[in-house]
Amino acid sequence: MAKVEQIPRNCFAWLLLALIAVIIPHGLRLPVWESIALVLVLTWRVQLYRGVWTYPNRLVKTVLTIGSAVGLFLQYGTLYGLDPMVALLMISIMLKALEMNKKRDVIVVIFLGFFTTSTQFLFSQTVFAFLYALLCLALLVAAQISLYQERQLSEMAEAFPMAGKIVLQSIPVMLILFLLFPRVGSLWAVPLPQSDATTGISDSMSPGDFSKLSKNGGKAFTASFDGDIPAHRDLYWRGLVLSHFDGRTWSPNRWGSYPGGELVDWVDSATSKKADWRSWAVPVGNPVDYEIILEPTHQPWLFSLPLAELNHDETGITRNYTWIKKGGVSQRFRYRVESDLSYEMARNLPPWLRQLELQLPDDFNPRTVATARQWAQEESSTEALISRFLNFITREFTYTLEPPLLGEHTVDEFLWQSQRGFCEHFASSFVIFMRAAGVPARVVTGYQGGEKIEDFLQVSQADAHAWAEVWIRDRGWVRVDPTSAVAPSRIESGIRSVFPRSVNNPLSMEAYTHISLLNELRKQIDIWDYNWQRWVLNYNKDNQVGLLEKIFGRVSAWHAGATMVFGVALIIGLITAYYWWQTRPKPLPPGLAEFSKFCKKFKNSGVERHTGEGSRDFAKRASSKFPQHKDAIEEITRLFERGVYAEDFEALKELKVKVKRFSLK
Amino acid sequence: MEKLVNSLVAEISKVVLGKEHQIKMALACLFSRGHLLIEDQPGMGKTTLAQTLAKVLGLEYSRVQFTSDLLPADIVGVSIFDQQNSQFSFHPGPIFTQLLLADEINRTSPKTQSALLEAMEEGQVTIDGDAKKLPSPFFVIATQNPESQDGTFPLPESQLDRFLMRISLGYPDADVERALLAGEDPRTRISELRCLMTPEKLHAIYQKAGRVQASASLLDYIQRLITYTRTSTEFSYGISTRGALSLMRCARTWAFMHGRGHIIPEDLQILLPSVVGHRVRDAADYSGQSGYALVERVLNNVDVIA
Amino acid sequence: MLMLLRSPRQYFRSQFDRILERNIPANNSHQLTQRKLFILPTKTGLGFIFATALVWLVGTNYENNLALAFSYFLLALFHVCILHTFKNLHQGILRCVSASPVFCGESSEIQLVFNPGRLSRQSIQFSWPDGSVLVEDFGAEKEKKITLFVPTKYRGWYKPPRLVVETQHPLGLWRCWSLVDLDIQILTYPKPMVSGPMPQTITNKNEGKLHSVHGGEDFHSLKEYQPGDSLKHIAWKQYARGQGLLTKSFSAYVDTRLWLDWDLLVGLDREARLSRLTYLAVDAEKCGADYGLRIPGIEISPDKGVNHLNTVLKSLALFEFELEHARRDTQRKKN
Repeated sequence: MAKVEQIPRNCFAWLLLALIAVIIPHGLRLPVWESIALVLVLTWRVQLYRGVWTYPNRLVKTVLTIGSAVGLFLQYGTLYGLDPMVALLMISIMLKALEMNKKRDVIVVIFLGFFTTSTQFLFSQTVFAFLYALLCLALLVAAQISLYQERQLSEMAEAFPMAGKIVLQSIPVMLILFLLFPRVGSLWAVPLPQSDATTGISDSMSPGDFSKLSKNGGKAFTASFDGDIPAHRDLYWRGLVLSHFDGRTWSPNRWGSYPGGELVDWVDSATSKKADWRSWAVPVGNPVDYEIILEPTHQPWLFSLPLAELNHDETGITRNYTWIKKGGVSQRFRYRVESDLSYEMARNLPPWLRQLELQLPDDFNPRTVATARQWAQEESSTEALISRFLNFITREFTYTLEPPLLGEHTVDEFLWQSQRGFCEHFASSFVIFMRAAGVPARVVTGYQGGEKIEDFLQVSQADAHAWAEVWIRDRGWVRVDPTSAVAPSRIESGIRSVFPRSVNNPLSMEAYTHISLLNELRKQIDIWDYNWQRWVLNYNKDNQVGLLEKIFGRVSAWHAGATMVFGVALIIGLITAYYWWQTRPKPLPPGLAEFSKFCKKFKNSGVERHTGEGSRDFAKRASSKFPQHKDAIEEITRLFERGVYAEDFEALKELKVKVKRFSLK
Repeated sequence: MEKLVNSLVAEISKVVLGKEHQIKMALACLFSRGHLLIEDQPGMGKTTLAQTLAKVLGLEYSRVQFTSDLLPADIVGVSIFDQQNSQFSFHPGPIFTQLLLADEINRTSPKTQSALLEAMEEGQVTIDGDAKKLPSPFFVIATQNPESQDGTFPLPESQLDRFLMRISLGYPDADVERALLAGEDPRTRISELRCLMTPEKLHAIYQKAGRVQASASLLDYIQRLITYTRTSTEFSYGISTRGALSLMRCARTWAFMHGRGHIIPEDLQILLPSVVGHRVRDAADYSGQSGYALVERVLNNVDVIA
Repeated sequence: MLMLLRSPRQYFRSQFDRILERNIPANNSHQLTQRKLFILPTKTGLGFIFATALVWLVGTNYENNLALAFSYFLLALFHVCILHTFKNLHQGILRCVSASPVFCGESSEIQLVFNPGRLSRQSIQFSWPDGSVLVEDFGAEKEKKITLFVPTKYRGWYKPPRLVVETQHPLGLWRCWSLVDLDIQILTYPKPMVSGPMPQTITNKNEGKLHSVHGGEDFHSLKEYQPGDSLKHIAWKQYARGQGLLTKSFSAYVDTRLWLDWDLLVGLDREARLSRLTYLAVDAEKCGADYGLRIPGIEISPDKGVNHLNTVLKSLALFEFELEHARRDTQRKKN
């Protein structure tokens, strides 16, 4: 192989670093066997680089390629899908890296590296992800630079300053392009990230679920209100409604279909037509507008304050007035909501539905059922029944993150024995009690409250909450939160006021709220993340149009294009100007500068200084031509000599003055 | 110091008429502890200059005429078996002196040349494995005929480099020549000259001249000069580092001789032809005769102020 | 214009040559200014754009701003590289120092000096089409000598093609280059062609010269002793006779003169004769003989030594070389 085709050692080293950096974020998502395979191939590559092992022959390469493709197919069941595609990409980049032995191969690997780096954003879009991607980019660029630098391994560091320089200079150009490059929507449907590991509130509720969720912590969503943030006790973020109880676990009703219409009314922003059943819920007042940025949950439901109205395609409202998203939330999802905190929800309850909302499994919780029936007869109204129940739990019960385990009759054991529980215990027992008393009731899960950071609200998994809704004649569904009876401060000022260290997951920043420095840091990171989301991730075609309107008043493609080209040219021009300034002739050292100024005063006088002519010779000629200036010329020459060659600084100062004063006229 | 130099020049000029500049150059060379090469036609007063210098500076003097069959031993001396003592005794050659005039150095064989040049470089000679120190100070003034004639061995570049300076005396002015023709032979006056120098004084000059300042701007200028000779098409090779160091040494002495504590570019401009002329070669020139003209071109092309 | 239709490749070639002639005329020294530099993306650069487009597609289809930003980053990188590649050559000064004379067909050693100016420069490649290739780095303000070799094709003053100075630094996405005519003329001697010995000239015995050779065996004469004369050569007999101190000098008759004569190589054309004469001259120099040269219009008297050889070879190289060049030009045009 020709020497020019050989891969320099320093390039190898950079490329290995870059490959490791590119693979790490994906490595955690890959199947275990693939991660191991990648490490093995990487080791092979390193050994190749050290000259210990040999290149794989064609048979080995074929086996590796086919083997990994088959393995992926077996793993995922399909090769179409984001995860198998990324896994395939990782395998191809590593196999290419393994077999590379020419400069051209390195280029292919580097370009694959660029592409792989960009796919990281499909899974994470945080500031850190972006910074990490920049690091990957810089490493790849360093590898590419060193490819054309014939250097030893020990000199490999030489590539990085250059890489840093180019990357930094590209940033302003990138910003211009980002702001102004024409945006087109999605060109074709693409597979979205799939995950079995859902986060946040699940679609069922058993005793202990919420305390576990609460202890784990982690960000759920942020909400930023157009106006003031409503009072903490009003922040009931409805997620989903659970109406079916099997004796231990609550789950949503499994409706095959809804009699008299669709189950879900999908938003159609084009026609803005609404199903007529939606008018059964009546807003009464107290409207709030806000925007929610939901972390990926890989589940369909969206959280909102009641009574919510979304105007986002791909979302729909269920018969329970909760909102869901088509295909689930697999990436950060942002939506605007208009809610009316005062409302009346669904005043008529069809008998079949009433039946469902009264459902109770047989032979469970006999004592609760008996007590409920007795209390229902003793109390005159539903409201009185509710307050009697709430009074009952206020007196005797304890709100705790560590509820005791419960046996078969969970509600019986909770109400009459342990009397210690978390929100799900209270909500569940309350609903069962109501149903047993013949009042339609259901469990609602979601979040309650949130932490106010700057001007937005940060809702954490620690704020996960379950409460109840009871159907009261003439009022419809009314929210009742039994937890508020037991721990009013939970509702008034948040879970941290009750359990300052509710989160005990050591990986979560929320576990360290008691250390003020870390707590401040956590808040700061949240602020960055929020602003990042708001200004960067949310920047879209509308923002772009808005920006251009701000600049020009009106928008045309011509304007956008011209501004973009001008902006890029401006920045490149600035960098060019900087280099041009760097290459400008070096200024003369002090003394010499003055003397050459002095010589220039003789321009067009007949005695110009020749190249190579010393000061004395020049002075001699000048004095003979201008005898009237003889003294001044000789003085300046003497000072020049003293200042420059005897390095006498006083003489330099004087020289400056004398030269300034000197004139042939 | 200037006074001393002037009186030295005046004293020497009594014998070597009308050659003040060359006398100063020769003095600068000797004060820089360098060896001098005088290149000129026969009969231009080379020998006279050397003799006069020796006399005025109070140096021990000897002269060797270099011929084609001169052997190294003829210069450095031989060990002869003394039958009375039954041992070898060393008979020092003419080189054991303070000022050696090596006449027509290019007439002798390269072997003999190199013996002399080695002695010049090392300040000692080696005979039968014994190193024998030469007296201090030790100067060599060598002369050579510029015209290549039959039976000459031109000094190779590496050996030319060992001479700090190469000067030529040239014909005297008409006036001076007339005075020469009219008057008595100035050589007879050599014996009347005063000795104006002592070894202590010479040593003091060495010391003080070494302390003359060279400013950053001046060093820049020197570097520009050197770089020009190394990268210009006109030169087949440029000034060596030894050449550059020699130039600095001479420039320091020259500035000191003129009563200055610092070097100025004019010092370099005056010295450059003599110090560097024999160390560079014109690319188009096979014989290596040029030098002065080339140096002139360097001086005209490299600016003092840059 | 017709040429464009008939042979577009040749047309653009000649147009490009014309631009080169205009912008980079022959000169011993060139500063690489804007006019003299060309810059175009390389194949790698096009591949890079393709990769960028793929990343852009990911960003667009997923409506993922960060992936979009990343693709714009790559695009920005591409743009910024133009500048860096260009400035890596811009304002550098290239000068030719020397070109060694060679025999036709051999490679001449060319000494160049590259002055990087106030910027440091990396991985600049100097090459001659079909000649040697050299990649060099330059520190700021550190002028450096570069040695390249270029093969010669015909005798006389050989003018090598334009020197290619190029760089792909930093990322190899762009190639900035210049085709510099440094006005180099290589003195190219005729290609030596082995031939038999030179036919003997009928020399007059009287022309043989008596050379005084040192160390000869035959006694020649006595001359006056000079200090420094070897004691071995002192004529002691004469000294004893009281004739004063005399030195014996010795000599030998030498007649090794050889005439390299054009007219003696009958029946050969010009180039063949020159090639043979070249061989003979080099051969004679090797043997240490004196040799002279006689070609039409030129006679160089016998001598030896490197300088003499150079003079002889130069005469051979330049003998009617314009005619030879003209003949080659017409021949090339015919093809």
